Amino acid sequence: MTGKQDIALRVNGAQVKAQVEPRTSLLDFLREDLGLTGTHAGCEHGVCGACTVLLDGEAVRSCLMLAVQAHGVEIATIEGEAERAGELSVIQDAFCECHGLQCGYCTPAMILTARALLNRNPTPDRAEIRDAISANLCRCTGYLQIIEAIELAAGKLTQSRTKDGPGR
Amino acid sequence: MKPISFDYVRARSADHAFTVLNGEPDAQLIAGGQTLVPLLNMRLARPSVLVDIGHLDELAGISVGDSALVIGATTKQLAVETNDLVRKHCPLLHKVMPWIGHRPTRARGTIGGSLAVADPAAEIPLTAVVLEATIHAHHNGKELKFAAGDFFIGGLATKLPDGACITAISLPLSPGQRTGCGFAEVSTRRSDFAIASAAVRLTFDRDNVCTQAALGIGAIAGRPRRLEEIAGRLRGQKLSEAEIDKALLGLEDSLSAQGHLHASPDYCRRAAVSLLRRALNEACLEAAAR
Repeated sequence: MTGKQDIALRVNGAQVKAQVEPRTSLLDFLREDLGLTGTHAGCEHGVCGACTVLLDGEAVRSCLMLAVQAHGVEIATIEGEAERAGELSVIQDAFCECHGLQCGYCTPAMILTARALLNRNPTPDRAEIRDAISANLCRCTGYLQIIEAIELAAGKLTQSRTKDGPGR
Repeated sequence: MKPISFDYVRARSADHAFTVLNGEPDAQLIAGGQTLVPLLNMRLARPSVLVDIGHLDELAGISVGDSALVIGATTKQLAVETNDLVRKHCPLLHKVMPWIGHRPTRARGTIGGSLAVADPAAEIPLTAVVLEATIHAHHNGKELKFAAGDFFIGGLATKLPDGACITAISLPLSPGQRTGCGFAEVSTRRSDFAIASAAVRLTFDRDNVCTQAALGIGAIAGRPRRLEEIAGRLRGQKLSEAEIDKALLGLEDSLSAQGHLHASPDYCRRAAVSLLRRALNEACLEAAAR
């Protein structure tokens, strides 16, 4: 049984079947087995948030999960954020517009955290945005522009909903 | 920062989990993994086999019985935080949930895990002790019950025997009317481990006399402490600021605090009393509004 375990899960909408060692983290599985390197390894003990992915729509720390625990779940990584290759989602675009990133290391996690927030609370106030990103460390920006980016994205997504425009 | 190799069993049922747990030396349970996985990554935990109970419906769930709110051990903290039964019947627990770690850790971490780890600074053990909850466990085919006040020994230790598994926590139902609760905590940064914390639940009669009081302090010592003597001073009184001051007299000197890198024992004691006062005021205001 120290041998590999079979797991089946959905990643960015696609069915994935794999064999993993029990000790492999979800983070390492995504990066190394699936080649989805947008999810970053920061601390590997759950304090920085750079490894954030969405599990059944909720932001979780992939360094704090074993891949075997992800059997049967739906994972969304940053690679799945934009609808089509070569495009940017509204949230990603807002991060560009507001200069919400510098080195980019925390950014995939910030964007996914924003996505989970806006899915459950489409009109967050600043306090709620700050609360949502308080689980993610950024060493570059000082956070303000990240907050502005999320505010901008929230506004755009709400607008596009009411105008029947394209909006993801 | 990678774990040792270990075996893995995805339990088919609670009984299956218990069988594997007791059948293998160095077997360990994993539910949310928010404490265990970092320990595995740092090789501080070196199990022979991990028994995964995180997906088992039979160990999760929230329900209300005659006199208690029952929460299954593998219920995710986020599920407890957003549950209407918890909000209605155990408002103190509802109040402390957002203070626990971060939302992403609450999305995976379980209520049973927090009790089993028994971190001195943890909010759920403090709440369990203050509300006189009962912790249910399974061990060698028997069902065990622990009063929360006895369960936590200190220094991350509990009375849970080797090979046992916490199955649920039951909390007495809040009286509801004219009842308020308060919680306050101080930490270095948002979501860091508490340096000092205080939890309170008060019930009053129509004349604003306090009829029931439950309060306690966490984080400053090895385990949370229910303050029965202070509660006794509050019962039967109308809780003006002067009455509260009188009740808290001498408390600071009587507390023992360990102190650490971020806070001296003196600071911990002062902070604990200050937070208790805040929590008492919050509970009074909340009760008045109901």
